[in-house]
Amino acid sequence: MILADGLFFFVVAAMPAVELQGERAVDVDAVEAYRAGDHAAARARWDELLRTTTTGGRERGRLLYNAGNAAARGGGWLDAVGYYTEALHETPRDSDLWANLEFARREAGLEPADRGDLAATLGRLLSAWTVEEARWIALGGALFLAAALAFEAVRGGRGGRVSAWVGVSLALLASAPLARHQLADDAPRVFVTAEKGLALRSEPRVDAQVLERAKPGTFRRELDRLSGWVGVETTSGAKGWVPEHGVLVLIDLAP
Amino acid sequence: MRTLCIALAALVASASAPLAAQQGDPVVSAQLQTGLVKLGSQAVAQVTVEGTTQALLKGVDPVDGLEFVGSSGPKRSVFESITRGRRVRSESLSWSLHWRPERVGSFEIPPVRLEVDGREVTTQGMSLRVVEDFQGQNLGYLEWVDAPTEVYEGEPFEVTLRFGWDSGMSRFNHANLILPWWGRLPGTLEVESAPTAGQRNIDVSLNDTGVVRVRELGLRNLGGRDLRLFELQRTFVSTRTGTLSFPVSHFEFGRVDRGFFESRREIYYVAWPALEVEIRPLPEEGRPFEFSGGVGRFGARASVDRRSLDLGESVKFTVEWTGTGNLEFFEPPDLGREDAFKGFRAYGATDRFHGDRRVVIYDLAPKTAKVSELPPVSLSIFDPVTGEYTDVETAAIPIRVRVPEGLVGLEVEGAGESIGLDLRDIKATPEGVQAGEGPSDLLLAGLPIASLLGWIALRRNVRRRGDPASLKARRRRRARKQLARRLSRANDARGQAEALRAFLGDRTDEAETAWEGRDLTLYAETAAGVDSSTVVVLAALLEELDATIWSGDSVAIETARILRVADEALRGGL
Repeated sequence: MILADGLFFFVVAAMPAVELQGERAVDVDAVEAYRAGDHAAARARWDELLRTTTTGGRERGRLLYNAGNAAARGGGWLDAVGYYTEALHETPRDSDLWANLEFARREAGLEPADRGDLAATLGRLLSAWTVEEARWIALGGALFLAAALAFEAVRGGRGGRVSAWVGVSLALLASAPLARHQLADDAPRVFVTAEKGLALRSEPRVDAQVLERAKPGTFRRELDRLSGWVGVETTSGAKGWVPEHGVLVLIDLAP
Repeated sequence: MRTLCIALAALVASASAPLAAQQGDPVVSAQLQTGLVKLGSQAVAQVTVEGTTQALLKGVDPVDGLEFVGSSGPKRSVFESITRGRRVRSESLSWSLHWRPERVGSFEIPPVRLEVDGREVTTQGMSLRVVEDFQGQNLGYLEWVDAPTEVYEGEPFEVTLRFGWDSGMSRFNHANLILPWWGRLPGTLEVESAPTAGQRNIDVSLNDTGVVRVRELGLRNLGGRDLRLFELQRTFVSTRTGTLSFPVSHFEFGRVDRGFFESRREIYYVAWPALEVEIRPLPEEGRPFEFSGGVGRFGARASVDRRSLDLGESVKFTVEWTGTGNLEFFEPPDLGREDAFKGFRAYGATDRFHGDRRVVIYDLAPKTAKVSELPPVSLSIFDPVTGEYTDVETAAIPIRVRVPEGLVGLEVEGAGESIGLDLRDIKATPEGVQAGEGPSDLLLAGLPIASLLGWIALRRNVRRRGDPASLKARRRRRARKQLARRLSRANDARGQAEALRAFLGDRTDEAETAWEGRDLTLYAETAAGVDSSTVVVLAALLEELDATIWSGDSVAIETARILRVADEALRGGL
């Protein structure tokens, strides 16, 4: 009995390692298929990994990046834009990723992701951090605030007031990336990949009323699923249905 | 003699002009020098306007069978005479008009139109008779030799005009070729011919005004006639299809003696009918894409300046095309674009035409040591004899390419391909498992709140003991730093004692002098929160300093020791 229990614990403890080896094998298969020019097979394997893998962060960003490359090599430039854009959440400062994203957007006839103006630059500054990094930055800001307040309490005077305000300002600034992540729509994302856009219909029927047209390369928030249809909410708040074949549902790629 | 007569007639006419001029209206006249000319010679008419100098030759109407060669003039003449004591002046203008008959027969030259004093006037018409020069036909010789009747567009063709006179006429010293087509063949380019060694060339007159170099063939017997022969040879390339016409050609020959007072001319003419060459278009059927434009029969030969070379070393590869084709006009192959020459880098080519051959010297360098020969160079041409497109190839030339030690070679993978942007490659190496999610929400939210509450509490506590930013508090805080500064400036025990008392004053919010002679032990007992043991040490140090001062030495003691004692006092609650 003791032996059986020990064996059970051994198996349970070894399971993650076995699983990881399996994922690694699929990844190797995908890389080999990609190198062999079978981009569809490579993409399918990376999609499978994205759905099943328990790892996140940079590894998920890598898988999305590779899936984007496979989609692009297969001619699906809009799909590639979807993968790359999703990968930015995981590896926002990856220069290769940015290069491929801008390349794919240009090939798909979309505007650059980074327009280069002041607003875009500020936005990129805020979005250049992962959630984990944003949390550490916010913690640093909070610690600095605590120190500044302590200084003000002990020393007082003009220097103390200045340090307190600087501490508050830095703490707010440091919390901005995290706030952006928190305020960002964490709902399942739907990326429009139909080259000519999609009609947002009031019901999941082809003869239903068209509410608005969704441009290619734009994100929508997934609300519901039906066979062949995805219920979405647009940035303007309109809710409707789009055909599944014209979108890349990024929630499908989440573990 | 005839020239003299004409001059006398003109003088008489000029002499009679003042009378007419006196009568008012200008007089216009036209007269042929002779109404009978031989075929081949020129008919010349003199057009004269008397009584005015304001006249223009407006035009000469064409006459079928007569080629209007041109006009010269006007020549202005002024004649003055005294008649019955009066001075009479008359003026006239004259033009010479030239025609060349193209056939025998009678011709009516229509009136010549002029503008005289602003009015258009015409001369009278003229009659001309052209006869065959039978004597010239017997004495002279003119013939197209092997003239082609049909050629392809772009195909070079040669025309040879052979001419001469009876070899017995050794006194003949005049030869003039009258070739109306010379320089006037539309749609043709004349090809430079290579000079033939050993032949004798002489210059003969051409179209009365020019000179052309012809080949002297010497004495030959043709058709039972002994002739002294010459040959004019020209090569043309037609650039458009259709019929190319060479009008009737004449050969003027004889003897001309130019004396001091007069010239004697014994001139004969011989003519040859017009020649027509049909220019046919190249067939579209079977025309290869790489057709070079070469038309004719070609031969090709290749040579190289050396056969053993190093990798990357330049080699001069000479290709020479010869033959009867349009060597000057075809497009030679660009070896840099030839698949067969992929193993070589083409640096350029020197292209030269030498009349009878086209030589292109290619500058090549082997990119790899794998090449073992210079491949055949192929030229796509059209063969007018077979009427088909064909390729002319050189023979392959074996070469040996050595790789010098340390040389990588010129083979650059991807050379020649266009450069552009592309996706960056996939990432095949896994990134590993992410460490964590970072600080928790509780910590991130709690820390600022705790900081705020702590600040309030700490502030309240500190303020309870007074304002930390007051002058007194700041002086007290700075006391230790000021002590160190003052001690560094103190040179003796007196300075050190003053620094120490200033420190005590700063810490107790008293004047420095308040600590002169003060009983520190008593102070420690009365002051709240001050450890008396540390103050005792400080008091002992002050006494030591005072003793040193009053002993007269005033030797400074160790600064570190003073600071150490001050620090102990601070820790003791001073």
